[in-house]
Amino acid sequence: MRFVAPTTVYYGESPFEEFVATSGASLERAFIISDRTVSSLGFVDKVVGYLKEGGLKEHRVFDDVPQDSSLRTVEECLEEVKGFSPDIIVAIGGGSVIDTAKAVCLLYTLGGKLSDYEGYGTIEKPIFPLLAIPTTAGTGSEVSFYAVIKDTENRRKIGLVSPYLAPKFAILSPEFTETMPPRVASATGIDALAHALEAYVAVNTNPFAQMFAEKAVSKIFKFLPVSVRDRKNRKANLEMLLSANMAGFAFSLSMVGIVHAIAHAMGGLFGVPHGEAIATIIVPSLEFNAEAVGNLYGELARATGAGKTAEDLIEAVAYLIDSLPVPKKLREVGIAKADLEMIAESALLDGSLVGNPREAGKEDILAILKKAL
Amino acid sequence: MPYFKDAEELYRAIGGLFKKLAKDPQIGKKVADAKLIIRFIYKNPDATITIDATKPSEDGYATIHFGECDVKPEIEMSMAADIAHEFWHGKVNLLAALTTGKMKAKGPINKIMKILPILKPAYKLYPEHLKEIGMEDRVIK
Repeated sequence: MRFVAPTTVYYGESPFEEFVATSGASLERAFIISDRTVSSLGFVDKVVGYLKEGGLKEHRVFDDVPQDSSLRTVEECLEEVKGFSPDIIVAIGGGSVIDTAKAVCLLYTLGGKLSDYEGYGTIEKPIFPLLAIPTTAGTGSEVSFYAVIKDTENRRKIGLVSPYLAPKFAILSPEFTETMPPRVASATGIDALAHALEAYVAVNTNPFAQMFAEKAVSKIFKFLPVSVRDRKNRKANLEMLLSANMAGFAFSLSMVGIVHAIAHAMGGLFGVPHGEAIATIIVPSLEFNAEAVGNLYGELARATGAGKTAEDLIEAVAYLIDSLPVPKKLREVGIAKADLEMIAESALLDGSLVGNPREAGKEDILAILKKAL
Repeated sequence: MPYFKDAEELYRAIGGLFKKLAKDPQIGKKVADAKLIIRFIYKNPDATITIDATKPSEDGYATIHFGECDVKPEIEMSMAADIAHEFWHGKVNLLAALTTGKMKAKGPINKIMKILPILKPAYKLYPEHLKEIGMEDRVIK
């Protein structure tokens, strides 16, 4: 067994100062990857300003990453990186931007095609240094060992898993997440909650994953409602960034499960935003798993102050979701009874299901979906 | 001391299991439905088995190649032969093996994960198969 956490995480009110002073990273030439929205909010200029304090002399910006990054985006970005020869690559954005940057760092270092590295353990060397600055508090991509890129031509997703994909540095600064609308802040926070809850009980869970998961769940119960209610609350926003980050460590060290399998199916088939899909199905999914996880939900309830039993934990999750501006039922995201069969079939084929602590067949998934309708 | 002294023993044990699975009306059919071409690359002893579930043959629902072949696999799984032997006894968790580097899997992750539940019933068949071919001493108790 081993515990790997390759990313150095800077956080707090002035994390850039600390990064510049202590990281030892060469910052003279930075290639910045982002998207149009983040760019238009002035975040790229802000980061450039901070990096100049650390000796940045020249930089180039690629801010064409779409909502779901594609192979073509990675290839276009890679060409620009090759022409620039940076010292460091900086990703500013959500999961799609950070995953694109991971893929670019990989191909810039090791060459070849992205599909050459698809799978588990196929990357055998460290890759180009990446500094990830998340602008949402949910995916945990700034520390995770995963990257997913859409292969639009072949209508599939390329999944990569390796500790080498984890960025070398991450900076968690609440000034970059406070512009998220309350609904997006809620949905991304619920995604982080699901990462932590699923990692805690996944088939290959372990003490390190559970340690991160426990702290993440505890903080999310406390700070997600505050962060959503008061979007300018720096403390709550930082706590949510930390929560998402810890949940990212947790699921990288363990796995997700049935909640993510169903949410992926809902996203793929009906375009339901990931966090909103999770909000609609997480409670019946936890109820389904409860009988297979022994005392784990009860332990988590006690550790997070949610109560003493599995029922207490599930109730706390239901209460949290009820208090947030997100869809609570499948019908609120446009899913009807007639769609359930298709979702269940697709969820059955999702890789996340293998991590779930209770084996689930089609009928089990249908039962969860019917409860969520 | 490795479980198999040479590739020939491995082909009889694990390869023989695959041949049985390919004929199995439940497991073989499900593997064929998944339309996968999967290659297992073993070390110590070195051996390669490719299951081509896109082509039914006299093997059953799939064609099974021992050793090098020209078929291009969609998934490649690499591992020590000992790990494979333990895996087919149901004693190795695939996820744990992948995350600890005991197994490497190249190819679409969803498809890699999808084959696991299909193959689970084979864990029971493997020790029986070993007994049938006179390799009872290799059964892990």
